[in-house]
Amino acid sequence: MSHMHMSDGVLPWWLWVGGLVCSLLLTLWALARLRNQRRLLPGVAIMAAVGLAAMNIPLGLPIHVNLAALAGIILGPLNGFLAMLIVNIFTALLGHGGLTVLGINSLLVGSEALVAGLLFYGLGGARRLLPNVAVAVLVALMVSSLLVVAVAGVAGVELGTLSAHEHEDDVDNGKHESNFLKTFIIFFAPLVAVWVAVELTVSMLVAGYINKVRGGWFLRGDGS
Amino acid sequence: MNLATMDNLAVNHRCWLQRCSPLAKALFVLGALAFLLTTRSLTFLVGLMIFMVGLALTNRLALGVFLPLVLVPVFFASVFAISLRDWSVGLLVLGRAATAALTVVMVFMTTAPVRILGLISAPMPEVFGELMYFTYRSFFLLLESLNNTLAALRLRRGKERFSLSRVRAMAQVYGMTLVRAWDMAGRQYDLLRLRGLGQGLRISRDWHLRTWDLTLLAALICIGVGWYYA
Repeated sequence: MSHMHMSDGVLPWWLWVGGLVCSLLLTLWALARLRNQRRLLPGVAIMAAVGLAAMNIPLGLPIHVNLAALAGIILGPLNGFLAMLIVNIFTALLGHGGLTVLGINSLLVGSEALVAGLLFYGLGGARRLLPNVAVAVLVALMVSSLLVVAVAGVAGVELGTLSAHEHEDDVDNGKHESNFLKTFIIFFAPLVAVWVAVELTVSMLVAGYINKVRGGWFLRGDGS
Repeated sequence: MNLATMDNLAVNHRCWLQRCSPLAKALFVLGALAFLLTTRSLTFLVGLMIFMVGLALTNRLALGVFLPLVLVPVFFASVFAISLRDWSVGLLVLGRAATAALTVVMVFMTTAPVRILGLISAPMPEVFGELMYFTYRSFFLLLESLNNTLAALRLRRGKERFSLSRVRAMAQVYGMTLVRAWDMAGRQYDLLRLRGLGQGLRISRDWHLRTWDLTLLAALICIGVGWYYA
């Protein structure tokens, strides 16, 4: 698992509904742009298919990469987000991430494509390919991980309230939330450390490999 | 990723859930999700889980394929459940995640993907439907090429554990898959355009309800009664 696939029933309703609305708005914006640039459609679909197929590649660890940040670099932020949304729809149908939390999951993974895409082009694109890919992917993964912690924090408040209601006691919500978040981070941090290292290494190696066999491929300018 | 296995089951497996309309199945999933997300009763969740496994058994679904898919949401929900340090709410979170996954996977396993994609893309702009179909088609084209490459790699390198050299080799597989896929994409898209994609060819959607849908309605009523009394 390369990132936290939120499950159904973990988040408060207003958060997953908000996630669905935000995801829908971003998707509609991306689709409106894509409609006017139809030549990019196969690229977006292929990147989504590669993201799905990439989960089948065994790394020797119980994790897989999804190349979301690389999708943002190759396709540009919005198209990268779109590709990751499609990956999330298919994985949600397989029970890999909930259906109601599809919006939140898409924003969490899509944020990698958005941040990496923006940063890569902001740093000057393919002129200094590997350093720019490294910085863009690393920052994108950090942002995505922080967003997961933020979402977990909100979920902790909601679940804490539910817990207090179940036991009909007056729990100090602030203390409960901080305990929840502390334990969550203890579990989540090692997973993130391994995932960031693997995803960053794989993204850089893939970018380096493509640059070697197809020089100038990243200079196409499709993502701009 | 069991997408290929699921696709095969969804198209070739014969069972009563396959005779239900995609629309009824989508409504069943939404109804079941609404009930399980609004309950606080662990008994109801356990009952619903048994009910869903029962539905899967009456449809002769391969539990070996079906149940492992539930483990991923259970794993992620368990991180939240353990962090909560409250076993009753923790079990509620686990139960919700597992039952929701059971419901969604069961419906996906018994519905032709082309029908599901049709339903999902219905409220969206046309280009979204094209994108979904093209992704799905590309995935299977890629998977075959990827499996061949991985088999060749295994023959050459043998079975090995996690190492930097393995990550490097796998990254090259990713890169090669991506470059091949990119080359293939333009040709495939042109081919699909020639066959009418995005040029007036409408994605076929099945909005008709069927007699077998009454079974799903009965199942949903049973779930609703259980929810009310739990």
